[in-house]
Amino acid sequence: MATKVIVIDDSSVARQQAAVVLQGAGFVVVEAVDGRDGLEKIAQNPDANLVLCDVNMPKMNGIEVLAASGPAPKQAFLMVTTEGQPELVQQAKKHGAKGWIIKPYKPELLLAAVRRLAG
Amino acid sequence: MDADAWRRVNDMVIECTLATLQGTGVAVTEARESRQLESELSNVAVMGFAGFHMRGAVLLATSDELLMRTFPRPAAEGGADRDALLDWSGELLNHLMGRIKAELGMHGILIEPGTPTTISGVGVRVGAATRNAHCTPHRFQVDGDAFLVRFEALERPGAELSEQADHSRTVGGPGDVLLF
Repeated sequence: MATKVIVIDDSSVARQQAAVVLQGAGFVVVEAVDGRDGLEKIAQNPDANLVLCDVNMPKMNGIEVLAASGPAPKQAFLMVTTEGQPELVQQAKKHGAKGWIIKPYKPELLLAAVRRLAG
Repeated sequence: MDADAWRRVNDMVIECTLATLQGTGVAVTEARESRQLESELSNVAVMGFAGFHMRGAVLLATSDELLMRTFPRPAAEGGADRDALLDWSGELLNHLMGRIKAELGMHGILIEPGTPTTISGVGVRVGAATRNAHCTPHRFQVDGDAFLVRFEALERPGAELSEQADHSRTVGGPGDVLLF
């Protein structure tokens, strides 16, 4: 069965960019348009292995989505963002994130990180 | 901040813009002439920022052609319609803001960006800056396609731009991957 990845980003281009890369490698992709939608998609897709989550989003930012997913999120979280501020990375780690990618990224590096974290 | 510090901020904005556009695979240069661009610009993305030391906004005004040239390759397979181009102008500004935030942060100025707002139109004219704000429009070009970046900011008294970059203020740059 194909591995499912939830992509949360308020930019449709950023979601599409990740989806094309992941679908091309055989992953099933579920898209969420902001943090709140992301939490709903996470609840609706308990079989997803990984969440790619932007940080700077309206309604709920990525750290808030991560925190709302509980102390030990069922899915691995890989934060994908333009942010590189150490305090934000520490917060994400504290809430259980497994990785951090600074945008813009090379597609092959995203894929390598996803393969490693999605199992 | 004195005039020299603001000159350095402007240099950072120029360097960050060049790096952001180069990252999309195009050859970009700063345009020295100050010709009017209004007739060529049809997309504007604006992102505000706040912080203890400084608050303001960054504006990116582009043509459709420039957005199509820089549109991410993998996503382009799905086509780039008007909404996608406008979304891309916001994401491109997001990439630029990420670099500016990191550069300012390494020099002691901490800012928190908002989310981008995008507008499209015909012959877009960029208006005057907020009163008392430090503001310099920077013009660039990619093979004749001109675009504009404007960094507009108000500083708090006592804000200082440090001479030396403190690289511990960022975990890395664009493209870096950290696995925990």
